[in-house]
Amino acid sequence: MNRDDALVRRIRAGDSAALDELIACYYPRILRFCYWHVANRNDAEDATQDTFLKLILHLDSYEQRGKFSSFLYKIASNVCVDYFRRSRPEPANPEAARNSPDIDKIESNDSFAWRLRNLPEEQKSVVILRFAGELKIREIAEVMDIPIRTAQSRLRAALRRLKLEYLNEDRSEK
Amino acid sequence: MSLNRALREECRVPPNPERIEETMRIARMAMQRSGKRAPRSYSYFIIIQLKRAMPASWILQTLLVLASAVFGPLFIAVHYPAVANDPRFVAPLVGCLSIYIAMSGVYLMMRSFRCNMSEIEMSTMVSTRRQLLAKLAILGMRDIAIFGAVIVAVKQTSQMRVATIAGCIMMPFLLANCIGLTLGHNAPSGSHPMRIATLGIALGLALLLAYSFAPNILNLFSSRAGGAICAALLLLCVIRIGKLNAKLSSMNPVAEVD
Amino acid sequence: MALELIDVSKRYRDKVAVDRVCLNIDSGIWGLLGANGAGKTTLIRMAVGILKPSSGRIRYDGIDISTLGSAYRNLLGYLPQTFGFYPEFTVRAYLEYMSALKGLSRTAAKGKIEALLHELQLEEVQGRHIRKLSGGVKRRVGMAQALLNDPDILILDEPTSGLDPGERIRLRQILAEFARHRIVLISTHIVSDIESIANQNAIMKDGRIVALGTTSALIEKMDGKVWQATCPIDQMAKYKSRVRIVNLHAKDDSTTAVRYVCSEAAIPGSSRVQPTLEDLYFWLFREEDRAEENGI
Repeated sequence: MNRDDALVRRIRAGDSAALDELIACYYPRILRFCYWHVANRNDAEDATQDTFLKLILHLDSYEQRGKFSSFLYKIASNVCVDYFRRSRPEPANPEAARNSPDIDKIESNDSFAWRLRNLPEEQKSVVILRFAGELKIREIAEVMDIPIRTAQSRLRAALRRLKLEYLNEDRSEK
Repeated sequence: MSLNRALREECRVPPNPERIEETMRIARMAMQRSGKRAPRSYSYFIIIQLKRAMPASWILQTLLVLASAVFGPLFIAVHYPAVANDPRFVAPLVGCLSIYIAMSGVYLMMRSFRCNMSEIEMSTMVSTRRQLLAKLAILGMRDIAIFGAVIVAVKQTSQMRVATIAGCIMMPFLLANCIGLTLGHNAPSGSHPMRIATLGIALGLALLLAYSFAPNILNLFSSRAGGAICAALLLLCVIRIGKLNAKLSSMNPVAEVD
Repeated sequence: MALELIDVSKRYRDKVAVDRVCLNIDSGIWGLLGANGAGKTTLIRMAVGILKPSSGRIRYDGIDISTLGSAYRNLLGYLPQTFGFYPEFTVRAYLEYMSALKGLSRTAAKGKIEALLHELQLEEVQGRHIRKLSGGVKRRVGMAQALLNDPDILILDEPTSGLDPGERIRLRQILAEFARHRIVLISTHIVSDIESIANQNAIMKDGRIVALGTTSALIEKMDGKVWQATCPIDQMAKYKSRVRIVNLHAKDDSTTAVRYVCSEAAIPGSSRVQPTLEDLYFWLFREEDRAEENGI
């Protein structure tokens, strides 16, 4: 039994320390995932919190087979779809960026962030799960409920697109 | 900076410690609330499968067959010793018994469709896979008990080797299961008890004819080729049971576009 | 607590049974109305999770029901249109069997079965074989099994079929009481069965939702379109093709009282009447469609 499954077992038995440990471990990753799928940071934090709440409510449906992260990301993905539908995405522009706590990073990579955020949804999900969630391709395929090959080809297509734009940016800066 | 590194850096979003604390606090409250729902139990499910999944008439048949499997060979050995010692009589009888056992098992596994119970059973908490496994477990225990009794009884009263007796049981048993499960799956009316009974009688007659016209078939049962055939039939049975499970788990019909 | 159907479709080789249905079902009683063949049962089966949609998603509380798996079925009570049972089952044996399949413990099952036998007035028949019971009593047994696990979501497909008027009223009362903090979805082609108890209704035709809203909002759509008139029986034939007749009632003086739906008064002497949900149903389902379905 892996660490995640051991924590889940303890949580099912009512161990709140195990719950805190799980949240501490996964909160940053889920926040990163939600950040790129909703309109703004506030929504991302709310969506992250909702994800963990829904996890508690439906923990019974998780069958402990070492696939906890996929299960959690599936919940996060559904939550983000709700949030996205409820609010329109704010375009990344200098005015909005100045109000964000991550202003330095965003300003220096403004166009790159914008391009990442504006990838086709299915490509963006794969990239975020790969680089923010640090999931393997097999896990990404499980979360998105697609064949492994489809996940691979979407990731390749997304990276090709970003690489081209990233290299062009690089050249123009130089 | 490489693209991969840029992506990893770009994707970093430093979390707010206060929000993490808040999430933990709210999640703990949610955990306490969800614990109030009554726990579910599987042990009662197992007991009820034994008590209710098999009709009383089926259990009665099983007991009668078990009794005749034990006492039948003894009776024949006492009153008709020549018959008891002749594999040409023993093998077909044992084969017909195993076909009967197989058909009663097929009937039980197909009952959900026959009695329009499958739709409700699919919608319950215990998965159809577990329900089917429970039925298979009960059938398996029954079959092992009956066949074990047959092997012991026949071995006591005749010169046949255990491997031959087992072959005389297993090959007709597995073949009857394969055919019964295939017909029951592909034709909804194939699960009708009369059709299953007719199939059983037909297979029994075919077996008797095979023994009459090709007595050397007995040698096949105790040979390696016979073992290989049994293994192949067992694999086919497993595949058919897998297909049955798929059918019991979903209302998706055969003619469908996805 | 919400059951969402998002762009749900079900396609077969020769037809589209359900076509891009979107519903957001929250607590209370929901009526799913439609003629036979409208796609209600297909939609119901997908909502229960026993039929996979060709496209679209079904989510409970924001999570896909396929992700929830047995946890979703744990929250569900379902009574299908075709209600079967093993022939040797008595009422009590059947409820014991179903309670085990719903994962109840022995103690919980015993208590719940006693309570439901009492509530649904099945105590006298609990030892009888189900196959020997009347249609209405069988339906009550079916309701009892759906309620065994105290579900958050109750889905009933044609629950009143075979029930006499008294039993229909009783069932409505049970459902109204049950639905206070739960989702109840009732699929039926008998409008009167749910008109008085449903908070929201969805009307289905040819696999699509053609009308959606509260009972009063849907009835409002028929304002000014429902008429009542009296005309001689021998003149009815010429009006039949022009209007959609809801009700005909022959009177003693060889005239007919007719209730019909039409955008304007088509029969002389017509007066406007207060519409009902049944009138909307007739408006949406043309006479010839209904005649086809009924084999007339």
